[in-house]
Amino acid sequence: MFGQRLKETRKAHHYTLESLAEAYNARFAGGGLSKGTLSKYENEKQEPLSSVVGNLAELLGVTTDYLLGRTDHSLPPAPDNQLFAAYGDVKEALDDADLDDIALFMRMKALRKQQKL
Amino acid sequence: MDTAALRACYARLEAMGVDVFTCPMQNHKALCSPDGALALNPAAIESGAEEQAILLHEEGHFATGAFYTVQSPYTIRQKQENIANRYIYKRYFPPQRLQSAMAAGLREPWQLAEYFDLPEAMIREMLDYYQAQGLLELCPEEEL
Repeated sequence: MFGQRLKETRKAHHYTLESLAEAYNARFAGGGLSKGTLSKYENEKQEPLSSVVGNLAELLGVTTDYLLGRTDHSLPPAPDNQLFAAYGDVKEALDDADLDDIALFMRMKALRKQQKL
Repeated sequence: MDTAALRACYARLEAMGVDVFTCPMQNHKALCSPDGALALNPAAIESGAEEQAILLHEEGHFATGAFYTVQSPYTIRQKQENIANRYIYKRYFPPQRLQSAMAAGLREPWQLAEYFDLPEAMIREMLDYYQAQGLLELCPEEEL
């Protein structure tokens, strides 16, 4: 499952094996990750260290649980105390898709703020 | 569609320091937060009138500070949405403005919706609210 999730997430972020390896090594000191190793991860020929899974999750903006196939929610949930408002009819209860939307919104908002700094 | 009205909505949000961006959401046409972020889902917005309604509604949230969390109960979320809506009704569509339009012959909600470039549902909610508050009087034959 890890290999499949890594490949899907990498492609969703428009990374090639090479560009992901480069981004990884630029971000994490002493990374030393090659495109060949990434290919082995994706094809389940080699298992990554847990620290590498964590770093890849951070780089790709998803949770480690998602990469490892433990959940289908790719983004960490929005904090319970985060204020927001939604357009449209108010639902009795928020469903998983609502929570994913809120998490995506919070993440995009944070990224835009980072880019402006 | 009155694009000048739409541009004015965006300009007011910009003046309030709101960062408006697109976001591919599954269930929402728009989400906003009090730190000045507004995400729109263009694929789900059906018309210029709806876009204007969304921008006005979210302006109401920013102006009134009416927000909630994922843990907020339904009643609180509904109350905060009502606060945002009513702020916008009174600020941009006061009863006198609606009454004038109706006096000019625009008696059906769809006519008012076209005149104000808003979704008919928003006009109906506005009329219901003003009538419940006793702020808008309609003759029996004008009941909408």
